[in-house]
Amino acid sequence: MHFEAIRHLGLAKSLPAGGYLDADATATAA
Amino acid sequence: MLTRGCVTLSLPDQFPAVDVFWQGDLIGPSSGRLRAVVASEYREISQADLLQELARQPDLAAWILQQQQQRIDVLRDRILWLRRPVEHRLVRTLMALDLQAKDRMPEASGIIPLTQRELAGLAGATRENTSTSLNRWSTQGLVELQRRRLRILSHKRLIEVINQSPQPAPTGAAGAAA
Repeated sequence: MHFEAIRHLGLAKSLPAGGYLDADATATAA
Repeated sequence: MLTRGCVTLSLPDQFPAVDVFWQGDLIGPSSGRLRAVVASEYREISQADLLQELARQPDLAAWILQQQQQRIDVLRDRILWLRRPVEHRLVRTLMALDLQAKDRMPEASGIIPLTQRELAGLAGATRENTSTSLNRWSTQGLVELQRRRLRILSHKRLIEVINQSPQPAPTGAAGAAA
């Protein structure tokens, strides 16, 4: 229920299979 | 928040994998590196947005605390299991991941989409020990190894690995430190 309640917040981003996301929030492909 | 898929959290140059997140999990600010083991989607929620939503839905705080408590329980359990033999930890890690994968990513049909290096990290084992055990279990028909993923073929026989090998005696601080 709460998952549904907040899943609209913020920016939606995607990460391809094998992709990395570092602490600086920069997504890079593997 | 992870809205789709599965990611592992690692600490580069230190630990290959220390945690796994599935669809619906909250991922707090961390100093690690996330790897999408399958195509994944997430929401980057600012603290301001979250606080605004908490003001609107105060019971959201209880859910967030519950999520964090569950994660602490899992990590505490993993620490306690460090006293057990490596193979016990590997079996336990595989069984837990299998349950999570089936529950949180049913479309994967029982595939555990983690590398052997990540499994080793989660089990507190070396990559070499993990590979040796998995290859033996593969030969015995307990697991099916694929590239960067695996599947449990016999849960019953995998659990027997724990039941048939000697259990360590309870130890105090001295044992834990050994």
